[in-house]
Amino acid sequence: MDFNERLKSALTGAPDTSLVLLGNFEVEDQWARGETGLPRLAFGSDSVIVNRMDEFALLLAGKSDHVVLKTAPDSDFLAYLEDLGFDLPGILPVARNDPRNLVTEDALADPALLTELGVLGAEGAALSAHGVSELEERLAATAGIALAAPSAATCKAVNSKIYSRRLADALGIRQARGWTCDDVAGLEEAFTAARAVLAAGRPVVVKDAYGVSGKGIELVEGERRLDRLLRMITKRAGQAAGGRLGLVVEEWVGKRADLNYQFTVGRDGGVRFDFVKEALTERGVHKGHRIPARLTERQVSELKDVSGRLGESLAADGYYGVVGVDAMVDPDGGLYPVVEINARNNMSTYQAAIQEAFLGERAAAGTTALVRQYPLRLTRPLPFGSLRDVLGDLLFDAPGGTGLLVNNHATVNAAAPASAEPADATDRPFAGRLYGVVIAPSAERMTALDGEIGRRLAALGERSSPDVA
Amino acid sequence: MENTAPGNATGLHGQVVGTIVTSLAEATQLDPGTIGEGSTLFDELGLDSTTVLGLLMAIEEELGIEFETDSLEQHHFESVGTLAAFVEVQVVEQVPDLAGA
Repeated sequence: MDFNERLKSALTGAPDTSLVLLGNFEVEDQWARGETGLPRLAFGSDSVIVNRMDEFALLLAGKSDHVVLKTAPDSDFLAYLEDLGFDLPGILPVARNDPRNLVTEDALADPALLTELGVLGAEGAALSAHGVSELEERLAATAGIALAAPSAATCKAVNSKIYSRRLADALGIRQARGWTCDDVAGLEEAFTAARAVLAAGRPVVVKDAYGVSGKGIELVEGERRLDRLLRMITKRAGQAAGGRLGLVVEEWVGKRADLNYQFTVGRDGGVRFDFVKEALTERGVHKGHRIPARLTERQVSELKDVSGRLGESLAADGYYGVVGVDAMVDPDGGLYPVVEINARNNMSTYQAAIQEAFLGERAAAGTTALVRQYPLRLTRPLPFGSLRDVLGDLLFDAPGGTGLLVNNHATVNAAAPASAEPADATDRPFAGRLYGVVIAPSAERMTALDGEIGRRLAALGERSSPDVA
Repeated sequence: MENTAPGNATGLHGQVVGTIVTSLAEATQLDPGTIGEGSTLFDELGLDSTTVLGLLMAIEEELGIEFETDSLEQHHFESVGTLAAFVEVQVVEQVPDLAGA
């Protein structure tokens, strides 16, 4: 069975169920509603780009599946993926893409799409989301299609960082010293303990229970900043109904590497370890993964054992589906096997088909990959055909080749001004992201290719917007 | 103090812009000399959701104010100039001595 079939088995009990996939990235923002944590300051073009991460779902789906997307993908991009041998699913674009909306919200506002989902549901298809909040539950109920997931309430509960810490504690799994806070009294207690950590010369980190992708994490190195943060949070908690809080405070510990591993919990409670990757982060923000992770057999074996124990507990708490766990390697090679549990799809989940096709047993020995995102600055939308010309020989375009395999094109142009805006607005530079996997026959070649791709894409920005630093 | 009103405004404005530029340079690790009032925070300076809270707390500490974080809106963060205008209002309301200095 390939990953697509294993996923279907875990979610529905059968490897041939037809799925309708929904890439509602940053579902945490929905789970965080009604919870008080760190101030949420999501400004800039981040959210419109994140909303177009929906296109990753294309490569999680198989030929018998469907994917709901905010817009139909660039036809040259689809042809590129097909030429690489991927079996593409049916595509269900929403009638109106509001860039600020999650794909789920756009789908809910599209009566014709809801009808189509209902027809697919009647034929036996099930809806499978990146993560499940009340919005996805509403979409499934409104359209009349089964949701291949536990309830939104269960998904929310097991995705809280408070749940992660308490579960790891209960299972005796090594963690950085820390404290969970679900009310103001707990927060004050945790901050008192944090003051002692700071006084001993070690930083602390304050995490929002539903933070994602580096957001909602604040590194604190002095008491003055800690006091300010405490005032800010207690004020917000006082203003919120019920004063409910969701925060974790931890001692900052040294690390050699960040890891991300994935396992899948079946409806029957069975747990299967999928893979481990070495995460690349820059200032706390996820930048990509290195495949294979530089780990010993013993370290991998420890992660498999932890996966089994976490999976068993998650199943007992009513969860089934994909689980990604962030972990760390300490400077001496010891593991912190649980930094946080993300009981939803992860970025890595969407790379499984690429791994199976080009990095698995069929790949030549030494083949190494770097899952990357490159920042772009553009003054006009960049169609896939033009991107292909820019990358030239750096594009991975055939099995056995080397270069960048592009696995999302929608995020490139997501923040482009709408064509309806005035002419001067359409020349305004905008940010974009190019996601892909750099595949190379050796680690050295991979690093060199990554540098060259980065330079070529940066030059593209300089050419298109010479007036911007 | 004999400063005229425009002079006061310029003095406060200059101090607020200076504070924002210094804090931004720390948050983004850019050369403060490259940051001007017209610099856009997210597109040009690369500020993102992970660094914005630290920036706000640094400004609070420097100017002795407290933001109502729930009242912050996208347009306050368009550029150094728009953020400075918002911060100046907070200073005038919360630290009148500094505003009148």
